[in-house]
Amino acid sequence: MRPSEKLSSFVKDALVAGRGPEDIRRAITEAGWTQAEAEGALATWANTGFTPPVPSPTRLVSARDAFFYGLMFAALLLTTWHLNTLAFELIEAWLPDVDQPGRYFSRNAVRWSVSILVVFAPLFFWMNHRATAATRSDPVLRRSGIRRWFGYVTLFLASITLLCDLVYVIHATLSGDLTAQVAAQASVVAATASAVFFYFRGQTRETDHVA
Amino acid sequence: MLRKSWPPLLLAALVIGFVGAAIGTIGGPGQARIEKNDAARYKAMKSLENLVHCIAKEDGALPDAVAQDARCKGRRYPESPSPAILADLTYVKESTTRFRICSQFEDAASFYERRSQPQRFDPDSGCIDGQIKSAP
Repeated sequence: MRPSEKLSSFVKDALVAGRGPEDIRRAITEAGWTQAEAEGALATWANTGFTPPVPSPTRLVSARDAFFYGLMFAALLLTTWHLNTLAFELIEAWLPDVDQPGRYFSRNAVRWSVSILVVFAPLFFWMNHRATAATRSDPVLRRSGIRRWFGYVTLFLASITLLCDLVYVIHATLSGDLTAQVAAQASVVAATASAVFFYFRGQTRETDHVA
Repeated sequence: MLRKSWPPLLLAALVIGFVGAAIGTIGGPGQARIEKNDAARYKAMKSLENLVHCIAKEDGALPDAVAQDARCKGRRYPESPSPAILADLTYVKESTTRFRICSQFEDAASFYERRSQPQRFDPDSGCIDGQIKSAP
């Protein structure tokens, strides 16, 4: 039996013996467990007052979710990557860098990005709409472990992108390279990453709230 | 409601905006075909220029007209899947050392910019001016 299972078993026995959550939490922490471990063990049993205690709902992991959220994640990744590639190329065309007159934007890169966006952006928005509608009508779907993982991975990538974008702008400013082109490109990256960050922050909060 | 839905709306607006702007900036399939044809014209001109240099080296003088020459292995007369592109191609011997190869570009100015302003190509006339060393 793993330590967390031993702790969960102890919580169950304590609840059966009529102990309240406060007493159990105190007993666990006095024994040397952390506050988070105590909360985790208490959360495995629903606080309904019913005896024997009812297990809390656990996260669901299904192959269907892996397929659905995997495809949605790939569609989002391709959409955001090619949205930025396209924006960078167009900004180079609209605001050419006077220090690099020979640099001309790639029409082929623009056509590839448009082709990918035309397919994957509607796919992402359609899957996102389906996922939102499904979780609204059946909140139990928010307990999907895979949905939660993809949400946090996306949140991590969006955060890293925002931070790197900020670092890049500061470096460009200090180096005297903050041209209109660099500022416009950094703004598009910030807008894209912010949209993804705030969308998935809302989604992961919903998931955590249900869990 | 709007507070929760603004992130996907912003993402959708960016996608629609940039895709529309891309089509407006680079043009549609018609413009792409023009670019492909102009690139094929330039490639044919460069092949012909190489062949002219080879024949001139073998003969010691510029040819009056250019045709495939067995002595110039690896330097072939331009080939193109489109006969119209070859039909547009002209070679003019301007002097004993100077020649001009031209083609009918559909959008020479845009081609000139896209190719980072290739040397010796005149976007106004759609010609390459060539020169060989003086005959001994």
